[in-house]
Amino acid sequence: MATMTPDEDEARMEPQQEAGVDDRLGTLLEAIEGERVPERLLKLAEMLQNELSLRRQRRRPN
Amino acid sequence: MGQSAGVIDVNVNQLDGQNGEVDSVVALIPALRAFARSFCRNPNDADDLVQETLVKAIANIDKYEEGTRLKSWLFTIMRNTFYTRIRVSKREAPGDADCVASQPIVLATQEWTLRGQEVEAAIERLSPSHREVLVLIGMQGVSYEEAAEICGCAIGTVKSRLNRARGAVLEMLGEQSAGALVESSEWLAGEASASGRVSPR
Repeated sequence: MATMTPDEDEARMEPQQEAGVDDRLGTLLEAIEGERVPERLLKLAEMLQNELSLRRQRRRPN
Repeated sequence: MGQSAGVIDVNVNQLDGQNGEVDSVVALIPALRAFARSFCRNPNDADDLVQETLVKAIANIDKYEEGTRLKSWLFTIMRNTFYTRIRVSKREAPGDADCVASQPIVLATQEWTLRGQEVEAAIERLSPSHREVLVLIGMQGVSYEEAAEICGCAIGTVKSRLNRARGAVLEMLGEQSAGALVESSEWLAGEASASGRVSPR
């Protein structure tokens, strides 16, 4: 069970309100997903992907 | 997901075989950029933070534990990188850190502006600790447990910060008071019909 902090007994907002905030946040993430990704980040991501794959292969040779 | 020239195709169905999560690093880039923007006011600086995060992840690949969510691991590296940078920056040039932690009211990136100027402005007015929790859980769907691990605090603290962050955003958007008014009027109407009088809450 999660530990409660002293300030956690404050009133929780309605689930609808929580969802409303999160929906709006979701639109921001969607906007970023629609942006073009810089080449430098793609290359690094691919390098990391390769490193992870190699590591996995080393650990599971069969 | 295919993109324009020079961009890598992403197989989003690639699974790690341990916990079924998508482990394509390329597919995680938007999430990383979004989290980075909770730290850096300038989108180019945010991308620099993503870059530094990926470089550190490659350099420390041996520390990645199989079964750990890759996204959470990268978020943790990013957060540590950012706060280390802030500490160094404060030592070298106090007050000169170009980050939302030191400059809470910031200009929006064009993309965010187009899709949610008000929300973005509200998020950026939050304290860094509230903002990161809201972005992790509210925007990215990270669990309380993972957020607690990433932020290095208790789950209860995460929940409290999230609740306060959501409330603050709603208040800044002027919706908390509107919602409260509706709720209050409904309650009053119910009370009035039940007892024939209106009493204070």
